[in-house]
Order: sequence, then C-alpha cells, then structure tokens
Amino acid sequence: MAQYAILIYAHDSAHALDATAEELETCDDHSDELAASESMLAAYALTPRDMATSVRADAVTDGPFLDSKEVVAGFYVIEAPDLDAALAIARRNPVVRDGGGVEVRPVHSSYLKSAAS
Amino acid sequence: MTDPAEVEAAAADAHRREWAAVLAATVRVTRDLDLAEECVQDAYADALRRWPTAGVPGNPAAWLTITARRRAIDAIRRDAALRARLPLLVVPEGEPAEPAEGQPGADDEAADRLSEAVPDERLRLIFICCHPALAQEAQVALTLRLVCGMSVPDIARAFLVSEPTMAARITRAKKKISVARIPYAIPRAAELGDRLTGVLAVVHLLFTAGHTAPSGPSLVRADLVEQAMHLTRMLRELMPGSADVRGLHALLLVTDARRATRTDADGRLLRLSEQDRSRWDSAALAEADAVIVGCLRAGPPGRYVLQAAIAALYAEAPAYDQTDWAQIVLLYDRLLVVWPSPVVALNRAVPLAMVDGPQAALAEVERLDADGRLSGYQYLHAIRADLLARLGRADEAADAYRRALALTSNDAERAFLLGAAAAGGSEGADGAADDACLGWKQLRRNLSGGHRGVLFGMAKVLFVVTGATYLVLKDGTRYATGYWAEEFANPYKELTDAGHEVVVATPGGVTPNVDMMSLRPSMAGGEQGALDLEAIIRSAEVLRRPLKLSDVRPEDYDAIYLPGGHGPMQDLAFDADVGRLLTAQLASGRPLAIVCHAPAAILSTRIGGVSPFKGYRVTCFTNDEEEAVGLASKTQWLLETELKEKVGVQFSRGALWEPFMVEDRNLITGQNPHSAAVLGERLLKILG
Repeated sequence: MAQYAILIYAHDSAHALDATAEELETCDDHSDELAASESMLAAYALTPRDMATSVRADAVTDGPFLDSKEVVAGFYVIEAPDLDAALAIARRNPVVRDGGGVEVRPVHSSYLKSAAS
Repeated sequence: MTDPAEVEAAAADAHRREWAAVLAATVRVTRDLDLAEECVQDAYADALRRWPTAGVPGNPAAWLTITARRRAIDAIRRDAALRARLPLLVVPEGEPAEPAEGQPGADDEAADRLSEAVPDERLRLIFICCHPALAQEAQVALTLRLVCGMSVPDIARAFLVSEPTMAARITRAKKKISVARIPYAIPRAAELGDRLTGVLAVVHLLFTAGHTAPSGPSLVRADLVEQAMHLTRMLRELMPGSADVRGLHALLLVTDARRATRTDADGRLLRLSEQDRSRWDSAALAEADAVIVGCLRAGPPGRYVLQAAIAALYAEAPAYDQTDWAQIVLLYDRLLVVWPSPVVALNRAVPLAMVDGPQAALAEVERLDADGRLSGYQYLHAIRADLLARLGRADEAADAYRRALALTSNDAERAFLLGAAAAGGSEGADGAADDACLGWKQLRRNLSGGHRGVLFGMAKVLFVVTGATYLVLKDGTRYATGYWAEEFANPYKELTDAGHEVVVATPGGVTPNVDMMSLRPSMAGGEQGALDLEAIIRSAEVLRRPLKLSDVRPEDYDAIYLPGGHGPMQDLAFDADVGRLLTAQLASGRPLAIVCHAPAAILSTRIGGVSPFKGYRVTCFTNDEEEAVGLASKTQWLLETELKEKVGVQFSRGALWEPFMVEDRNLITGQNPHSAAVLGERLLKILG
C-alpha cells in the first residue's frame, strides 16, 4: 500500500467558521464514507481564502499564495494499493462534481505529532 | 551454419512483431521496466550471436522470452542489492511464473504454455504506457520505446527533439510510473472505455505525426505510420470485441491508402480534389470498407468508425465532384453527437456547402465564428473566405483570407492546430486536415528551430530562387534554364555591399542552377559584364547552401526577394510552400520584391481559385518580351496572361527591355532582367 495526498481545489472552501451543518453535509458525508472504508489516514478542512496569509521572502501578503480561480480548500491522506485505486477514491470527492477538482500526489514521508494524552 | 542474412531477417522480424510480448513477459519477472528493457535488448543481441550457429529457433519469440527472463533472474540473483532497491511495479494479481530451466530452443513448448497462460501481457504494457497520469508526449514516447521497441535516437529523430531530451522524457515517465505506483494492469471494466480512448488517441497521434512528417528522412515518417498500423493490429488482436479499435483501424487504413498520392512529384501537398484516385491502395480501401460496414451493423458507431466512414465515402467516389455529399453530412451529424467538437462542426460545413449551397454553409460557419471558440482557428476563416468567394462576395472573402493568414504566425493557433491534428482534424474536410497538418509541421519546426539572433542594424533578406534546371515546353522538350544571373547578382551585391545578410531558399533545398544564357556576354552587357556576374555568383556561397523553402519562416526576414529566369515557371508557379510564404509576406506588410519571371510564384498563392494578390498592381516579363526571345509560341503558358487571368492583377508595363518597376503597398515587381538592379536599390532604401 502507498500513501497519497489528495488536495482539494475549489473556488473557495465551504468551511467558513460559521458554516452550517447543512452547508457541510456533502463534505461530511464523503469524509464519513472514506473513514468507514478505512482508506483515509488523515484529513484537514481549511478555512476560506479570506483567512489565508502568504509569506514570501520580501513580504507577507493577504490571500492565497497563488492568485488563481481555485484555492486549496483542504487535503487528506489516503492509503491505496496503486495510483488507479487512489484516483478512483479521489474522483468520488464531491468537489469534482461542483466545478472544482482534486490533485493526487504520492506522499514521500510524513510526520504527525501523536495526540497528547 | 545459418545464412547471416537469414538470421538478421529473422531477428528483425522478431523485433518488429514480438518485442512487446517479450518485454511484457520479462516485466513479470523484473517488475522493473528499465531492467526488463535491458534484458530484452540483450536477448536480441544474444540471438544475433547464437542463431547463426544454432539455427533460428522454431519459435523465436519464445526463445527470446526465455533468454530475456533468464537474464533478468540472473541479474536479480547476482545483485541482491538490486533486488532490494527495485522500484517494484505494481502487478496486481498473481506472481510471475518462473521460466522453465534448460537450454533456450528446447523451451519452446514451455514458453508457449507460458504465453497462453497470460495472453494479455502486451495489453498491460500498452495501458501503462498510455496512462493518463503521464503527459501525452510521454505516452507517445514510452509506447514507441516499450511497446514498439523503437530506439531512443529514432524516437528523438521522429519528433525532432534531441536525443538527451527524448531520453529524459522517457526516464521521467518511467520514474513517475514507479513513484506514483501506476499499476501494470488492464483497467477495470468501469474505466476501460476511457482508458482505451486514451490509448487510441496515442496511436492516432503517432499515425498523424508519421503521416504528415514534415522533413527528415522519409524513412522515419514511414516508420511511424507502420508502428501505428502495427499497434492497431495488435490492439485488434488483443481486444477483438472493441468497435472503437476496429474503427480506428479502418480510419488508418483509409487514410494510409492515399499515402502515395498526397504529394506530387515535387513533394507539394495535394488537396483531396487534386489527387490521382487510381493510385489509391484499393485493397486497403476494401479492407477498411468491410470493417466499417461491420462496425456500423454492430451497433451505435463511435467516433473513429464515423470518421473512417466519412473518409471512405470521400475515397469511394469515382471523382471528387461525384462524392456522396448528403451521406457525408449525415455522418457528420452522427459524429457531432459522439464528438461535439467545434472543429467537427466546422468540417461539416464543407460537405454542407455542396448539399445546401454555400449560403447555408456560410450561416453555419458564421454561427461557429460567433461562438468564439474557433475565432483563433485559421481554417474557420479560410473556409469562410472560400464560401464568401463562391458567393461572389470578393471583398469580404479577401478580408477573411487576411484574418486566416494573420493567424498563421500565432503560437496559440499552432498549438490549437497541434490539438486538431492530434484529434484527427477529420480527413473529410477537403484538405482542411492536410492543411491542419501544415500547421503541425510549422509547430514542430518552431519547437526545434529556436530563435534567430537579432542582428543590430543589419537586415536579413531572403532570396527565394528557383531550383528548376529546365522548363518543359509545349512539345514536351526540356528547355535548359534556371535563375537569371543578373537578377540574382545585382541585388545580391547591392544588399551585401551595404552590410545586409542574404539567405537563399529553394524548393526542397536544391542548389540552384544558373541559366547559361544569362552569362553570355551578349546578354550580360559585354565580356566584362559577364565576368563580373560570374565573380559575384562564385563569391555568393549562400547559393550553394540553400534552405528548404518548407523550412523557411517569413517572420525571420526583413524582406523577401525573388529573382527570375524561366525556372520559376517550372517550379515556383506550382509550389505550396512559396504560396504560403508570399501570402504571409504580403499580409505582413514587409517588403516583397519579385522580378521578371518570378511573379509566376504568385500563381501558387491561389486558394480555391482566389489569390490575395488579386487587384494588386504588378508587372512581370511581358508577352512581348517572351515573343522577342522566341519562346512565346513554345511555352505551355504565358506569364503575363496567366497573372491577369488567373490572379486578376492590375497589369502595367514599361518599354521592351527597359527597367520598369511597379510598387503597390509592400509589393514591388520588376518587368525584366534590367529591372532587378532597380528593385535592389529600392529594397536598400526601404531597409535603411
């Protein structure tokens, strides 16, 4: 099995701080499904683009690093036997049917601080 | 002892036919593409060494497979470290069977059983090479290398990139296969359709690239066509149930059946309407026809079947104007359903014009134009221009042609053409596909050409010179000619003396021939005049290193000049490259100077009977002058007459043999040999 990071690109993240459960329903359903299949190792939903701050050598600026139509709305890490299997999982992400898309990247290495007590 | 020639032939045959199978079987052992490739390469080398004494085995493929697999096992055993760090290919089900031990040659039966057990090994190879996670150019390269066994230098040559570039492209692709774990497997049923579409796109691209190879040894181009045919046959064998595969096969057969007639003797691309139908490969057409009929009966046809059916209908007509246009329009309607591309819709307008008339087709093309997606596509404007011209709306047609031409030097458009050529740019559209291939040619040339250095203050002038050594007269005899000495020499000297650079281009890059008569003292203004001309020609080394016209990009030059002689009436008057060049130059606004018989080249600028030079004020070697040299009654046609009648220029003339120049916008023409020096001076002034 190999690990793949799946980066979610959307016009913006659905996860505003005041987002309602209703607004997050499709995302949560998908997340539940992946968790149940045990292929998901970790998942992070990010706040919308307005919350982003970018840092470059010469400046700190407001907004996402790349000035493009889509931003990274979140990412998760899955385990899959091969790329085709990973792509099959990635394709099920609701953002794909919603004008956005996902990027699948093999994971080189990872670190997760073990949750303290 | 077996005859070495026979061994070589057997090995070459096995290479062509069995490489993929041998490699695929070896990958099962190595689980590493690089190692497998190396072992297979070695096995073929072993064959050449051992078959001369041991004899060619009954089943060469089996012998090669056993040998390659044994080498692989040895390599892995010998090097435990290698085994440990092998970037394992993901092979989903089942471990590879260990090959039987024993002498190669005695293993035929074992190998037969082995290949029966895994009949679809080659498919895995094809699908991994054409995986959508790889860039399409990498898919093409990898398929040629791994499935066809073509060498990296050959692949590099075929795509006009350097060998290290191609090697790096292949290495990168292999690396992604192992790092991202692209599986060595046949896609699941749910994905098979889409994945097969990708494979077919690669094969079709390969075919298109070979079918339209712009330059280089013709062998390489035929090689790509053959590899594409070979892959298609392999796919048919491996996936006999797929209508799409059969459809692609039919499309390639129909297209390739016309291979011999697509260009004339001088290599000029011919439109469908101009091709000699009697020379088409009737056996291939019949085979294609049987496949198409079978596919159409089997169920709703896919994209390739429909494209093939359209191409076949064009091919079946006894003559271009007897084509079954109505049926072709119906097929286009079906094609649009399965492949809703604006390019298909545009190509449909061509047969539509034959069925419902140019007005209906024009409405369709204008609707597509308004849609915007094709506004940067030169062929939309070219087809629109053609329809307008047929409707007698000459001014609008001229505008549309200019729009089309303005787009030819645009990189985005070239990229689009590349896409269209790859997507098939349907053969149906009377030459539109062939024209699209010209775009592909240009693109490839640009990719390989790089930028020209900018020379400060010094202009670069292109001399387009005839490559003909004779002019065929009415009675069939060949009148010795070439370019006229003073028409080359005087402007050449004027320009180079002023520090400008002159570059010479000829059709096919042949060394131009001077018309001997033009070096006679009586023609060159005396003994000294003749010697001077000869000295200039001798000193002009560029004459001996001409570029090919087809490789020339007009935007690389500050001005273009064409010297005469009777030669241009033989070649430049019928040369698609010079037509393209003059058309682009005229539209660019940069100076274009043409003297004496060279205005014959303007005849090549006609598209659908209309030339962008129509209405321009020009002069050229007059009928009276032709009469005076005694050739008027002997040549097959007269330049002055043709320019007036076929191009529709506004003709004017000076006195017999006297220098005479006509300037209209950026077009400068001269009447006769003595006018060349005047044109040279004028160019000098314009170039500053």
